[in-house]
Formats: sequence, structure tokens, C-alpha cells
Amino acid sequence: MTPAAEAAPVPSERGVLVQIAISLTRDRVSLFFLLVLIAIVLVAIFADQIAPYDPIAQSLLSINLPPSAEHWLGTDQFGRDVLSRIIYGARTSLLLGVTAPALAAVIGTAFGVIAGYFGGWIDRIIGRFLDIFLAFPALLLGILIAAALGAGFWNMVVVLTVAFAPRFARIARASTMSVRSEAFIEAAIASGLRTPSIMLHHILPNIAGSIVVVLTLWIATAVRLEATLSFLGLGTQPPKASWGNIIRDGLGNLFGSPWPIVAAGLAITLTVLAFNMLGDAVRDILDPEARDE
Amino acid sequence: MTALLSAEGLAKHFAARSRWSAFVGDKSVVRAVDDLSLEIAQSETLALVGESGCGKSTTGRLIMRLIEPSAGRVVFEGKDITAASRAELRRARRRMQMVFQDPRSSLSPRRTILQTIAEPLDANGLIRSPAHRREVVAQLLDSVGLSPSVMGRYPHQFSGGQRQRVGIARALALGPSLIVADEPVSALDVSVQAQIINLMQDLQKERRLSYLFISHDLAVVRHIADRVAVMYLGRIVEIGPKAEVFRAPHHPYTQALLSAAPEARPSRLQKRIVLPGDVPSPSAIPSGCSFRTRCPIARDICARERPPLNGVAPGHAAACHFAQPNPLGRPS
Amino acid sequence: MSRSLLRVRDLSVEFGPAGKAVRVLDRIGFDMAAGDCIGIVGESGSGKSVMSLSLLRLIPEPPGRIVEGSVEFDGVDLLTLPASRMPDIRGKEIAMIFQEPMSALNPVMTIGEQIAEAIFLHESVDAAQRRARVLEMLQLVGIPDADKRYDSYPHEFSGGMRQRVVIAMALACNPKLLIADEPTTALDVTIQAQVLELMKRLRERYRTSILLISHDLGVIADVADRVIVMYCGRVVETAEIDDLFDRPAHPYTEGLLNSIPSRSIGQDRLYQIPGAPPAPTERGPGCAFYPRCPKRMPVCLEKSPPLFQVSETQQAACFALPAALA
Repeated sequence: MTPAAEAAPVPSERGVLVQIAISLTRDRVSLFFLLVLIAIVLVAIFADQIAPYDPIAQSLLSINLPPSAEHWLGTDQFGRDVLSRIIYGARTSLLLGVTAPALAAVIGTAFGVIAGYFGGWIDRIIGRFLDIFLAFPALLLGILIAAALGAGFWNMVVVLTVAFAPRFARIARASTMSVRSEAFIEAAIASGLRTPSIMLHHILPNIAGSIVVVLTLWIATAVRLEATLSFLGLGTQPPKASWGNIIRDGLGNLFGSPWPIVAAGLAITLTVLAFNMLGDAVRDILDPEARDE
Repeated sequence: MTALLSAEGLAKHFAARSRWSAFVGDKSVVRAVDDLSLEIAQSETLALVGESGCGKSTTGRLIMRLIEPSAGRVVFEGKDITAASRAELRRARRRMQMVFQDPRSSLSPRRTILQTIAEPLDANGLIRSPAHRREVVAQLLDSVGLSPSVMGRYPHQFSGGQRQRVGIARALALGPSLIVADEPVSALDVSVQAQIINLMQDLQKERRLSYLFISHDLAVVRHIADRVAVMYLGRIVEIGPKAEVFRAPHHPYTQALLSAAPEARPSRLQKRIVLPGDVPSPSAIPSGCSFRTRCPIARDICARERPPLNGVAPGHAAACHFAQPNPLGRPS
Repeated sequence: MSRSLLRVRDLSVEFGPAGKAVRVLDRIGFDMAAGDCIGIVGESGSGKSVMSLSLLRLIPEPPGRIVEGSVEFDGVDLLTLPASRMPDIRGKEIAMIFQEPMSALNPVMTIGEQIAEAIFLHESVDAAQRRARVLEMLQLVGIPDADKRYDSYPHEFSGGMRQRVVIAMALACNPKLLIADEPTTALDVTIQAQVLELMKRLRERYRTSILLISHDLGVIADVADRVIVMYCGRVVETAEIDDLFDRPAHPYTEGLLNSIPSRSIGQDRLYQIPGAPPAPTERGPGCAFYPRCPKRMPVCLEKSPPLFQVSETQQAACFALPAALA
């Protein structure tokens, strides 16, 4: 049998990561934000090496100093170096901002896929649970749980995971239901593929795009939420540095010494923006159709 | 000789419950398929034709037990698959596969052609190594007229006709004896249709395949089928050898259907039989003969008694109280 | 009766940003007299739908652009009219019906209101007269119980009925030209037969000219007097209906006809045109059909063949024609 004429262009078969890198470099905006994120991540990782001072070391002699050669971003009301606190704050914020949503994504997607795939009473039961959690705004839920469990890093992780997981579940459920009705799922069933394999190899890859975008958006929100909760005193407890409690501490002296607030605010804004931008880029990368455009 | 596949009394009913049915008790039943029996022999193509809503796609899925039947049974290669366990069904499915209508949605957009075609083999643990997988898929691609070099590509890089070839390659992977083809060429341009139909015929000869060919396009069916079954509102109204059904249909619906199909031969335009009205809803099927509301020769008995599928010639049956060759008269 | 109703010349449409634009229609030209019924046949990618939309200037700009050509309707070039005048033409002089009747009808308006709206937009008659006209149209298109059905919503109708409503809307103001883009493709065969019969009947009664676009040669054979065959954005053949089917001049038309199953009854294999149509971005300066053509010659690769006169009523764009070789 003679092969028919093929007119489609040949894609390269390089690895996925290489393709991500290439796609990102094509767009200058996403490249910029990628670098920003890499920078922030590196800062968080190498905080011990980079930070000029110990972030919790107080010095009553140097309170509320403006930026200078010794203290690039000045000092706060306890004489602590703001720059160092920002640097260590990156670690806290990122750790929380990534861990909690990632956990929430895994848990939420699992429930959402199961609900969407099987439908029926399974869907109804899971749906009821989701509705209960979704009825609360994330922040309110966070406050309630923080109040119940107390403050602190791991409690924050629980708080944010509980807040976000239902939202992931809802998206995963809707995407699953739309993929479920496609013919290739029927084909997979007819081929003898078992349900767990179908979920893993067919459902998940096809909903990954929407999940990832939402993931990056929620990372951004998590960073903000952490800052808010810390600002309210429910999150990271002093003297541990977090962008949120830097702002809290700096409030008392807003007009006299605004450096801590400005610095922390900028850090939060930049990080949130970077994750938002990246979300779109990664989603496009995961979609083979958009890739070839 | 025993048939490769035989279906007896297949039915699929959907209870269309409205939101308030618990209070009001409104239980209308949608009879998508009712009391359907058919047989397919080895290396035979049985075409299932009808318009939208007649239940032909549902029948295809019932045969493969992708949907659970409300009644009836299907015996395939001697085994009753309606009563089979999950494991037995999985084994039986190796021998019967499906080709789908929409080339766009029948292939997962996130998987390469290699992964898609190899999937049935992977699912049944028949792949020894990555090299083995590539080898098998290369052979399958070759047998459907595609170059093996395309296996690393994604579906969106192919045209509709090429994707349909991939779908056929996937269906062939396990070496089935029966393929249920659900409108396999309906979404394709005419010139591409011809390619795919020729391909399916060649494969049938090479591999002794049987086809349950579901289609609404009578011209295509006339070309590829050995026997034809015409469906209306969930039942077979006529079944018989292709040449006979086309030359001398015995059921008025069959005759109207044949007459309605536009012929690309303007110089031989016949006076067309145009049926009045619309197809009744499957949730409100008329009593007696379901076709009587549109039938030009319906009489009282048609409302009282449902006509059974009676033989009108060897191997040829029609469900009409007044079955005869061209019951709606010879077209002028 | 041979007054020219529609003269299309060199109609060309491009899509995409200028500089990287893709030519989707390339110098389309044809004539239509009042009372004619012309079928435009082509497969996916032929540009037939783009062409029908550009006649009424319905191509979204961006990303589309009519870059060349003229569309003379009743003596007036529609492409040079100010855009504000087009709504007066659409619906009143030229009406259009599409493939999907459900999308063409507003789901939250009754069908009576929608047909009345068409009348309201173009004619100044009072409400009672409008209603009477609507009922007349509904009866004309074969919708029973017109009086009651006036207040029904589109979802209460079946596909075939909805298409009848759409036809009623289109003909409500008695347009000179009806453009029908795949009007029966989404309908079942028996319903298609009803709708085609209806269109033929209406044409006889109102002497409306019809431009019928379809990929289905059978549908075209049923309704049209003349046929225009399009391939890759170009007209490759025009002929009277019988001439087209009995004596196709262009190799693509011949191949297309041979591929149709109903014309190869009794044959073992269907004829298949080898290969596939090129994507719009891959079309070169020569004939678009070159890679698949059994009669190709070197000159076909260099230049795009113009339409040669095969007979008084038949033309084809092919260098291999006797008329061209002479």
C-alpha cells in the first residue's frame, strides 16, 4: 500500500523542558518575568549567603534608619535590616505560596476528576462538600482555621490548602466532564484501558492546561493571602520575617519611615505579577496546538 | 455456519425524568433502541442506515457494550458478552473494535500518534519494549497508507482524512475480527471519503474483517455493504442483501429514503417521494407501526398492530403490513 | 430575461496581517442573470463560504480583507458602496440563509416576531399587515397551524422546520437574490428532500434568483441550472448542469465526479483523487491542482491557468484543454 502524500511540517522531537525554554525566550515579556521569578527563587534559596545581616538581629541604636550604604533598604523599628528581612521573607512567602497551592491542586484535582468522571451519586456527594467549602471566601476560611488551629507556618499551609482545594476541584470537575464526552475516551475504553489509566493518561493531560493556569494564579493569591494573614497577625509570627508582617510592623511608622512597607509591597507585587504572567505562558506550552502557532 | 456476531432483542431505554417527576409522576421513556436483532457473518459488511435519532449509533455502542443494554443479548464469537464479567469483556474487546465519526475528537490531542495507536496494545500488556512498540505502530501506519515517520506528531497536524486513517490503524492494532464503524466518512470531503472507503475495503480483504458500517449516506453504503439494515425510531424496518434492498425495497420508509437521496445525475432525475411531516420524538413513539404517521399507505391496522419483521425473500425481511417490492409505487 | 443581476469580477479576499496575508479567494468571476439558479460546488478549503460572505460584505475586517474586484448587483458595485448602505441591501435585495438553522434564529424571540422583524426593517407596513404577511409566509413554507405557531419559539421546532422558518425570513421581503450556504447539510435526507422541493417551488412562484453553495453535488444537481466549481480559492470550471455531469472539462471536476459513490455503482473500487488539497499558505504561482492532476504539464507549475472557453456555455481553467492547447 503506497503511503499517501503527507503535507504536515515535522516538529522537532526535543524534550519538553527544552521546548518550554525555547517558547519562553520567544516572548520578551514572559522571559523578563521568568528571570524575575528565577531571581526571587534564588534569593530565597541562598538567603543565608546573600543576606547581609541576621534578619532577627535587633539593634536599638539603629532604629528606623533610611536607606544607606550599610543598610540598603534601611532598618525597621527594631533596628533590623530591612533588606535581610525582605530576603528571608521571600523564603517564607515562596515556600508557603508554592507548597499550599501545589498540595491543594493535587488533592482538589483528584476529587474533581473522580467526581467529573463517574458522575452520579459520587459526583453529588463530592459536590455537596465542595459547595460547603466554596461558600466561604478564602480569606474568611483562612481566618477561621487560623483562629482554631493557631498561627504558624504549617497551620498556614493547612489553611491555604483547605481554602484552595475546592476551587481546584471545581475546575478539574468541569474540565473532566467535557473531556469525558470526547470520542477518544470511548476509544480508550473500547481498547481495554482501565479506568485509572484513562484518568491518568487521557483525562489529566487534557485538563492539565487549565489546572496549571489556575495553579499559578492561586500561587499568586497564596502569596497575597499569606501576606494578609501575617499582616493580621494570624500568619507567620514575629520575629520570623514575612512580607506581610514586615508591612504590619512598618505601619506604625508609615510616614516617617516608609521603606519597609514600600520594599515589601514591591516584592509582593512583583512576585504576584510574575506568577500570573508565567501561568499563561506555561499553559500555552502545555497545549500542543498552541505550541505550533 | 455460525455468525460471528449475533444480537437478539437488544433494547436501550432511557427514563427521561423531569425534575418534578417525584411529585408529578411524569415518566416518559425514550426508546432509543427496541427489540433489535441482527447477525453479522465472517468477512461481511452489514450496513446500518437511518436518519438522526433512529438509534443506529446507540446500536453500535450496544453491540460493543460501551452502553449497557436494557434488554437483549449479544453473542460474539460464541461468547455471550452481555453477561460477561469485566475481565471477559476486556478479552472479547480485543476482537472487536470501533472507528468513530469525528476525526477531531476521536484522537486525544495530548498524545502522539504513536501513543494513540499503541494504546490498545499497551492496555492489554502486549508491548515488549519501546522498540517493539515503534515497530508495531510502524506496520499499522503503513497498512493504512501513512508514512511511519509521522508517529511522533500530534493529531492537530493532520487533516481529517489522515486522522481517520490513524483511527483505523488504532482499531486494527489488536487484530480484531469485527470493526464497528460509526459514520466513519461522514465528516470528510467527498474526495477523501473515496480514499477511506477504498482503504477499508482493502483492509477487509486482507484481514478477513467484518464491518458493522453505520451511516446515513446511502450512496456510500451502496458501495461498501454486503447487507443493509434500515432503522427507524429504534427498530430495524428492513434488512436484506444490498442489491435487493436498493433495487426493490419492500418497506415504504426504505423506498422514501432511497428516493430522497440526491443523485448526482441530473439527466436521470426521478420524481422524488417526499415524506410529509417530521420524525416523531423517540419519547413519544406512535402506537402500532411507528412509521405510520408519515407513511403514504398507512391504514387502520397500522395503528393497532405493530408489524413484525417478516421475510419477503430469502435473507430479506421487512416490517410492514403491506410489504411488497416498491410499495409506494414505481417512480415515474 | 438575460438582464444581468450579478456580475462578479476578480473578487479576491485575503486573511491575516498585511505582508503575511493568505489569499483565500483569487480573482473569482461569474455572471448571474435574473431568475437563474447557480450552484457553487467545492470542498473544504475551496473558499466557497468566504465568497458568499464577501458578496454581502460580511467578511470580518480584520482579519479578512477584500483586496480586489467588483460585485455589481443590479448595476451597482456593492464593494464601493458606503458601508452604511449595505444594511438596506441585506435582507431586502439580497437575502442569505446558512447551514445551521438554530444559530440563525434568536432563541428568545418567537419565530413570528423574527420574521416580522425582517419585514419591519425594510418595509413600512403597520403591525396588522405585518402579521398577515408573516402568516402568509409561514403557510407558504409549509408550516402547519401558522396562526398558533407564530408565537412558538425556535426550540419547539425540528431542524427541518427551523430551516423553513429561516427561508421564510429570507424571502419575507421578496429579495431578488437568495444566497443559500449549505442550507440542507445539517438536515436528514428525507427532510433535505422537503426543503429542496420547497426552494424549487418558491423559486418558481417568486422568480427569485438563487445562489446555492454546497459540497454535495447531488443537492446541486437537484436544484441548479448552472454550476461553478471552486478549488483552492479559484474558479476552475463553470458549465450548465448537464454538461458538467456528462462532460466535465477540468480534471478536478472529473476526479470529483468519479469519487462520488453513487456514480460508481457496481465498481469494485471508488476512484480517488490522489493526495490532498494544499493549505492556503502553500499555494504557489501555478495551478493549485498541479500535484494531484493526471494531466499536468510543466507550464501548469509556472502560471495559473485562466478560464478557457470550452463551449459557448462552458469554461474551465486548465492548460490541458483542447481549447487551450490550440
